[in-house]
Amino acid sequence: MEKTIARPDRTAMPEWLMDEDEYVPQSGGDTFINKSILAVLGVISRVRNQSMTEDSANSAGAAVKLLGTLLTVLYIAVTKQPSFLKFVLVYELIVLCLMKPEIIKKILKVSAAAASLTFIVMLPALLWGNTYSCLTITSKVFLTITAVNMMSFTTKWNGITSALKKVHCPDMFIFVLDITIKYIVMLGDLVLNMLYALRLRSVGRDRSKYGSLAGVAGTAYIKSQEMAVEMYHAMECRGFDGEYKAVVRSRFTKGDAFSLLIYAGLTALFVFYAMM
Amino acid sequence: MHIPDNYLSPSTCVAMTAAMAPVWAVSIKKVKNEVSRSKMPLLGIGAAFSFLMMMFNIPLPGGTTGHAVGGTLLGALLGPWAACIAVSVALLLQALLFGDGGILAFGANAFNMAFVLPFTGYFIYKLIKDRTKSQTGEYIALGAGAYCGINFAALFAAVEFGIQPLLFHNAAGQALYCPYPLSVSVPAMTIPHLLVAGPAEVVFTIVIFAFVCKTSPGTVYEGKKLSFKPLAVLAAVLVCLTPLGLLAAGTAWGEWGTDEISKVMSGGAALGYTPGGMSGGFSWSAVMPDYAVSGMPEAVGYILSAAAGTAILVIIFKLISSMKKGDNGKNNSAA
Repeated sequence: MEKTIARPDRTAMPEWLMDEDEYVPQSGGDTFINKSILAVLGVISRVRNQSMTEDSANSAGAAVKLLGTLLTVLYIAVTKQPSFLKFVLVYELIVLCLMKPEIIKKILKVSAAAASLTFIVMLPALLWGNTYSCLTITSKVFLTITAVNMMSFTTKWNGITSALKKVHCPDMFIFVLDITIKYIVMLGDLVLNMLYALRLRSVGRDRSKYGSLAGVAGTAYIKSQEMAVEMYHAMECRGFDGEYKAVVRSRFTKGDAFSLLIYAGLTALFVFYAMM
Repeated sequence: MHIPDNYLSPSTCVAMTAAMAPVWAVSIKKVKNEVSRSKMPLLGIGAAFSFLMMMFNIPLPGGTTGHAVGGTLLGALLGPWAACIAVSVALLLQALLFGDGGILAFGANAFNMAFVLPFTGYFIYKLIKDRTKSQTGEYIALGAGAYCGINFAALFAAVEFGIQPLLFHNAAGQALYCPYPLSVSVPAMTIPHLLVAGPAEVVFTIVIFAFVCKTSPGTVYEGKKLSFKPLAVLAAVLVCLTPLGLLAAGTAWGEWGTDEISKVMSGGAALGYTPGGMSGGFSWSAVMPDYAVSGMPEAVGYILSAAAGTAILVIIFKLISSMKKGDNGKNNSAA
């Protein structure tokens, strides 16, 4: 039996649909959307990467790292001896050189940017002949930012919250930090989807860029209100009263011991140079 | 062998840097095309080895000191072009951070130690190695390459020193830069290198090469196991041993400071003056001059400098490898 294929009748098509359309959209309309998408994606991926940081058996616990980093930053800020800074620099370089290239790049990018900004701010001091303070402050900024970033890039977010609990940080503070990080990702996802939608729907030049972005921001705000209410209900249902309980890791790892040894060494050096 | 600033006239420095420029350009191109991304960090470790070997000062006859360079080792492990880059970066680091070797004289130092040395060493190694099949033959080839490489480099450095008094002197006949003519500089540089520094380079080269072949054969032969851990351990051990380099107390020939040079004895008489180009010359304030940290014993400063240098070199080449995208293992599959 012969199959008959139904063909649309060409003559039945309305006249206006046959006309050639000469609409050429003006270019350059969605650069701002793309930029916003990239910025939001950058933040979200940063947080997500953080939670996927692998905890190797040799790395120190988050509490040790947190305290050690705070101590290092304090020493860097207080010391008046450039030689002590050299020791800290060598310590940071050694830790850095053992990390993955991508992470080294990210850490150094941030510290280099901060250090060069400081250098520019301190440039007048250099021109007036005060080389010492210009170089010391620039290197202190570099070392501090590197130390903090080294911790943040090698520790999971939940590791940091549990470390904060271990050092008896108020629950309120931990709660705010925890929720902030989680909601950056959730709201970020929401904003990202809205931006995609905006990009798909915008053709040609957008004459009200601020309006579009304000719409996205406003929707995100309303949504965040709803989420907050929902979260409160969820907290009630589960009986969460805002108190965090850290599951204490009983085991004292090799990494902990090694890090403690290094921080003790730094402390000894700091005291030695402070007494000089 | 690190020529300090003001020992060579600025015009010599410019000429040497100009001679090095095309070599660097070709090296960068070759390394970009030939070294795969996964092997890039090896360049950093190689540069770190070279940096560390240069910290082990050995007392030489005549009261001066010398050191191995490791250019031939890097040539055999990574190829001469990669060795050129690795040694150049190590030299630049030494000049900028530790005041070892001049900033202006960087081109000349790179010419001697990053060009003449690895290329001479590598080609002699290759020449002999291709004619033997045994492992011992390879070691002999390597030893011969290392010995010739460092001595050629010393000879070039001596010639650069020696032509200075002929070309640049004041009306009274006093030299403006390096005061020793070829008749003094060539024997002063080459004899100690032939007798002591050369054999030291051979020993370092063969021992480290044998260690690398055993623990991480992928470094040398394509398709075998490549592991960075033993290399890192070896580097750490070398870092801890660097204070041994302090046992040799003298200053290397041709590396005296402006305060020392007028008292240097040569042929039974002290020089008696400080050359004009040196006293008023360019001076660079390094971060850790002479590998020292104030308030600490020399050995601590030495270890600290060695660790810093090694870490920086590894970081630099890791960063370069992360910039090299998409060609991961391209050459491994091609080989």
